[in-house]
Amino acid sequence: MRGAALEFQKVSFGYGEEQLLDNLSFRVQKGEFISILGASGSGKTTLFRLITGLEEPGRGGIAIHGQMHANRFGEVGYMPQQDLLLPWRTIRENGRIPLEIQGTAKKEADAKVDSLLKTFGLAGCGGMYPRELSGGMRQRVSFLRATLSGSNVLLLDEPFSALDAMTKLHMQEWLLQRWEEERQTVLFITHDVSEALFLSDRIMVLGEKPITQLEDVPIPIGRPRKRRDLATKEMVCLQEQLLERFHVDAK
Amino acid sequence: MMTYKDYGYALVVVLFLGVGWEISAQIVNKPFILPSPSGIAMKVWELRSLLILEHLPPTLTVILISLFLSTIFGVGLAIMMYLYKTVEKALYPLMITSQTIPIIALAPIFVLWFGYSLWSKAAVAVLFTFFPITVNTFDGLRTSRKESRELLLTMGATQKDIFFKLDVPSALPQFFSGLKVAVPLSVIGAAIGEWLGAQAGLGYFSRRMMTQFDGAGIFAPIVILSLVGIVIFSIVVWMEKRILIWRKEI
Repeated sequence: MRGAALEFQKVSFGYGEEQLLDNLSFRVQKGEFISILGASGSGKTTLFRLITGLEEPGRGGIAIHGQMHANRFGEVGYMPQQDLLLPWRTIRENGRIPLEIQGTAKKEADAKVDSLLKTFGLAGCGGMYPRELSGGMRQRVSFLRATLSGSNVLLLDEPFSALDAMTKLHMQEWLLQRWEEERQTVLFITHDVSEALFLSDRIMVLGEKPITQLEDVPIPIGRPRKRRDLATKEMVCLQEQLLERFHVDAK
Repeated sequence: MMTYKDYGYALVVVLFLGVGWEISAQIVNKPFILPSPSGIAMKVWELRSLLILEHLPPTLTVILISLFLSTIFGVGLAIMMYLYKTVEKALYPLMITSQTIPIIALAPIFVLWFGYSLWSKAAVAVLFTFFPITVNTFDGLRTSRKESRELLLTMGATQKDIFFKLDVPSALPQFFSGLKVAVPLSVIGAAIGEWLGAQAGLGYFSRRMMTQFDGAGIFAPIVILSLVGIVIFSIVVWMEKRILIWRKEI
């Protein structure tokens, strides 16, 4: 057993009258790649806000690497839907923000970011401004920034949803490759079923509110993966099932 | 970026107006009422050492002091209003009201308070200039995005981190817009301050010439005032371009 990177223990949460989570428990093992799949407004982003510490559960607890923190800020790396790069900072300066906040000396932080730029396909971009980069490259900077903040639990909130179709496919493969090298724990929010199938070890499906449990869907193909692995009969059936579910949910 | 071509159009208009003015002035031929541009130019040249060595320094001092004070005061006030909702609620309406008062009418009060010193003129100029700086900086601070703030929070940022890494840089472009509005206002403020009572200064000189019915003599210091405004404005634009280099078009 590898131990839990993240654990929800009987968490209840709601905004005002509306109860979103009710007594929800689940675990994510270290090094797992999990996709969280759900329709719009199903509470995916709320889960992330709870994990990052932007929201506090009404009841229950959230443990990261087995520890309950009074304040979870800085414990996980969060990659938002929009890249949210600061336009007045260069790529290097954007990448080093989490290190600055942690109190690392600027020189050291710059050296750390520079050593990562090539791995993230950003060689030679350190001194450029975000507006000079394409959408895909900006998302890589955002990912780099997320990996530098907190422990190696990464929360990715529909990071590729704003990219064009080709760039999206390319970025999925790139992300998978990065993950296979680093084996960080990844929670990946998406509403794209094939994206979830291609990337994850298992999919957690959000049902109707209030959410009392997450439906666990293990992905029956191994790694490393190729896109054609999605074309096996088993995977196509799984995809059909998941799509059918959301179709029903949408009614 | 403005190129020489863009300035070219403005230059044509200025030339056109100048020639029109020159011709009308020649026709009217009453230089104490309508001095000609050439007459004004000659007057500036004639009075150059008097204007630049004697009357420019006190006026320039008032302009620079008032810009400095209203930057400190305006930015400080904007930050306080941004950080503390109560301060905003208490002071924002008051600030707007301060701008509905005809400042020219208020100026004699400052003379009562500060005498004919530099400070009575600076007070008038500050009353003109602090408003655009405060309002723009305040609005600039409010443009920082909630999403970015939350992202920094998830990284463990303190309020101080967020203020300096997000709020301040977000506000800079707006602050410079405010400062650019404030520069010409500071020139006006200084001139008006001097009208009310001074022993030297370009505004004072202009007014003195009025009592002597010297039309060109009224305009000569105004030309210098206008040049001062243009030079300071250009310096602010230059600073803005250097500091906000990230905004430059590719």
